[in-house]
Formats: sequence, C-alpha cells, structure tokens
Amino acid sequence: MNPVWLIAIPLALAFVSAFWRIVSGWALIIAAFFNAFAGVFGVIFLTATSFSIGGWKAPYGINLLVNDATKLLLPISNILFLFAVLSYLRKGEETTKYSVVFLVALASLNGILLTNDLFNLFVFLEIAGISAYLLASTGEGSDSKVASFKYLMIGSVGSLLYLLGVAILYGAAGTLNISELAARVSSGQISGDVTLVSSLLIVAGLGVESKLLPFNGWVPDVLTKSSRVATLVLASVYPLAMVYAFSKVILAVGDDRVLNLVVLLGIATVLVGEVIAFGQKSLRRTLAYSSIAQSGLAIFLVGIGSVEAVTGSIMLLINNALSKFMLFSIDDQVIDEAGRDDRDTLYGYGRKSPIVGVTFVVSALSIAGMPLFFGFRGKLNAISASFEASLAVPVLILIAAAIEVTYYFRWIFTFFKPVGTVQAPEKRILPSVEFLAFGLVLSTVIVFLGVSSGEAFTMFERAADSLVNGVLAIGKAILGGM
Amino acid sequence: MIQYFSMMLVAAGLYGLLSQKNLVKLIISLNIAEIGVNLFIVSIGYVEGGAAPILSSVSNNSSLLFVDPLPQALVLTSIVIGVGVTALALSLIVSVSKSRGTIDISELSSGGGDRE
Repeated sequence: MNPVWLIAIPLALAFVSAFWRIVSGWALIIAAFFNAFAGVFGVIFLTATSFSIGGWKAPYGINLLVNDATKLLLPISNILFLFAVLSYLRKGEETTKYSVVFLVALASLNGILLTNDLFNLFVFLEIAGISAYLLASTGEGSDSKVASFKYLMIGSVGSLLYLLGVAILYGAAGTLNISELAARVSSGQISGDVTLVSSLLIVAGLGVESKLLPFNGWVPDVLTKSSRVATLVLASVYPLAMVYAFSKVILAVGDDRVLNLVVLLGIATVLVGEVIAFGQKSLRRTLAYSSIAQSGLAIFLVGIGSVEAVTGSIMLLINNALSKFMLFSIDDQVIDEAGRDDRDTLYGYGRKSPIVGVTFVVSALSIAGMPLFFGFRGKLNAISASFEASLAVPVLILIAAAIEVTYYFRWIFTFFKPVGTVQAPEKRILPSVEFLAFGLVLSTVIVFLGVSSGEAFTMFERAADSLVNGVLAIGKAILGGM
Repeated sequence: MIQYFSMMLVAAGLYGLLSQKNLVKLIISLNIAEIGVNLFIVSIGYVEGGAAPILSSVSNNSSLLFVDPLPQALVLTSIVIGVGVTALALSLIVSVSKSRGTIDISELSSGGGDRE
C-alpha cells in the first residue's frame, strides 16, 4: 500500500463533507477508522522506505519516508485520533459540526509524519496549524477565540521563520529533500554559517508548535479554553507529530552550535513548565503546563542527538501522548459532572469512581516517571543519555522530575481523600463506556511497556536509529546515485 | 540587492508585530513580513539573464540559461497559504470584536483572561 492514501483519504472526505453536511459525521468516522487500520496493517509491513509522489524520483520530487520511527508513531497517532473521535461521538455535536477541520487535521498530521521534503513539511505544518487554530477556537465564549488568535499569530510568525530557514538552505544546497540535505550537511558541502542561520530559524519556527520555551505562550490558554474533544486531539496527537517533525529536521540539518542551544532551551522549558504546573489550582492548567514540560524533555534529548538520547525522546513522546490522552479525558469526566476541576471539587473523586481513580493513578505515575510504568523507562533512558552532554543536565532533569512527582502525587491524594462518612457513603459515579474501554486499553499498554523485558524496547531503539542514521544513509545513497 | 530589501520588509513586519496593538494592524504586519519572505524566495531562483524555464519555439535549446522554476512554485504555494491564514485571522477578529466590543490586544488580555 502506498502510504499516501493515509493523507489522501481524509483530505478527499474533507472535501465531500464540506459540501455535503449530512454525511460529514460519517465521513469523519470512516476516515478515522481507515487511518487507524491502514496505519497499523498497511504501514508496519511495508518493506520499501521511500515512496515518490507524482512519478518524480527521490531527490527531485516530493517523497514519503516510511522508516522504523514512522512505523512506530503513525499507528499510535492514528489510533489515538480514532479514540478521541469515538470518545465524543455520543456527547454533543462537536465532532459532527467540525468534522471538516478534524479530517484536515488528520490528513496533515499523517503528512507531517510521512513527508521527507522540507517545503512539503511546511505546507503540512501550515495545514495542521490552521486546523489547530480552528480547533482551538471551538470553545464556548470569546476566551477561546482570543486564545486561538494569539496561537494564530505566534504560529504564523513561526512558520514564516521556518520558511525563511528552508529558503536559505535551498539557496545553498539546491535541494529540499531532507535525506539529501542531511548528506550534504554532514559531508561539509554547505558552509557552517548557512547551516547555523537556517537551523536557528528552523528551531524558532518548529519550536512554536513543539512548545519550546520562548515560543510556547499560546499553550495554556489553548489547552484550557477550547472544546473538550479538540483539547484531546491538540494535547495527545499534535505533540507526537510536531516533536517528531522537529527531531527529523533538526537531526538532519541542525548545526552543532544550534543543537547545544536546543539542549539549553529544552531544559529551560522542562524547568519552567514544571515549576508553573506545580502552582496551578485547576487540574486542566496543571496538565497544560505539564504538556509543556514533557515536550521540553523530548526536545532536549534531540539536542543531545545520540541514538540512546533519541530513543528516550521517542519513548517519552509516546508516553506523553498515551497518558495525556487519559488525563485530559478524566478531566473532561470531572468537568462533565461537577462543572469545575479545582482541588475542592476533586476531593474523593477517585473513591466515588474507582475506575477513573485507577486510570488517573496509572497515567499520572507514568508521566511522573515512577517504576513499573512506561514513563520510568523513558526517563531512565533520558537521564543515562544526558550524562554525555554535561553533569548539570541529569541533575536539572532530576530536580524537574522531583517537582513533577510532587504535584502529581498531590493530585492523586486529592483524588483519594475520603469525604463520605459511614452514615452517608459517597455516591458512586460510573464513567462512560468509551472512557472505560479506552482507559483500560491505554493503561494496559502503559503498564505492559513498564514491566515487559528489554526485548520490547528494541523497537524504540530501531526507531531512533532510523532517525539518527537512517535518514542520512538514504541521503548518501541519493548523492551516490546522482 | 533585492534580498536586502526583502529582509528589510521582514524586519518592518516583525517591528509592526511587536509594536502594534490593533489586531487588524497585527495582521497587516504579518502580511508585510510574509511578502518579504516570498520576495526572498523568488530572489533565490533568479539567474542573471536567464530565460523562463519553458521549452518553446523561441527558447528550444535546453543548454540555454534558465532561471530556477522551483522557488516560483514554492512562492505560489506560500502566497495561497498566507491568504488562507489571513482570512481565518480576520474571521476570528470579527468574532472577537462582536463578543468583546474591542480589537485592542491589551484590553483583550486584561479583560476576560483568568490569570492564575
């Protein structure tokens, strides 16, 4: 199967549902199911790595890259997207009303994960950006519109800078193919000044969407004020694609000096995110700032750039997507029932609804990096890989992890604080069927990856290896064949 | 020369983004910066004395000096994207000004935000 169908089917259905409103809800479901199945069964068994579009051979036309990293991230992001859509199918009309936006977002996220062309990546980033602005504006009231406008301004300036960086690289190298650029940069054909300027611009551009520190002012408002299903997609699927795009481009064309800067900015993002998350009073804001911190963790490892570091980055990225999906849906459950999600409302919630409580504990502990959960493996990898950068890096990461563990434990204690008495026991609350199914599946995956033996982790290492060395090898083959 | 000019446009646009408070003026500044970047991309493909990259009865020799057609295609795409983003931003401004009654960004930030 040519992976371009993953982009083409949702895009075609988006056109259909834009003009034919009656089928729009069905179109979204069909596309989400198709992408989830095709992402799993159509992509994992592909043996070829490069697929050309429109009959142009690899360095001249756009080509799609299916390597081990894509094979890992594509199924996960498509399945999470399907879960997000299914979770809100029965509640309200958000998914039907905005189905065109969701379809375009699905197509562009797959495009970001697949493409191996810098300008094509820009186009997909812009499409994903535009659908993200629209998703961010779906909340009630004008607050979400203001948040979306700010997001739009920051995002557009970011992609403008990215485009400028790409143009400078194209002017020097004469190609837009990421693999070929990687080969040309590593063999020293491009002057160091050019790669310095262009990769600085690219870091600034992609840093907006991947929530790097000076460019992430939009995150808290967008994640707290947009509608619930939009938040679920923006908080779990988007970071996967965006941080993957960041690492793909920066590992290929990044200058060493800029990689050092990425390490610095990533660590600053982690520390600032965790400290602000610590002081938040509402669960949703805590989760939003925790998203920033998790992105910072994944990004500073890309700056270190070794295979071990990128393995940790990919693991933390996946862990963040799975756990944030559950945490945000738990927060939705709470808001559905109580209307608020501050500490007072949440007291004893885990006792009223044990299943919600347990899934909250699993995902919160996994994000915080406790042993027996997937996040622990990721953080272990991250810390052991960061020793090679400098001794200060693992120390700072451990401090941040301590802050993170503290505030997640505070929320867990809030969840399980006893409120009822013997005379008046707590009222039981049953979560929805969708939440039960998806929560159990994702918790099982997190616990399974947390306790399984080392064999299961070779796939993460292979994914990292295909990003660090594989892209470059393809580029060398292209250069040799020209 | 045109490249310096396009960078000046980008700088002017960024200055506008930092200094203006009216939402519509922010969009205009963004567009100015976008035009600067687009001009820069076109200028990359420019070749002194190059012909249009089309084989025709006038220029039928493929060893002629041609300008690079790729940047022109890129600019066309990026202009279209810029128009889309501008339209979306303007529609958001309409929605914000209807509900809040102002398009001044400092009033919007202090008015309804729940700073914690």
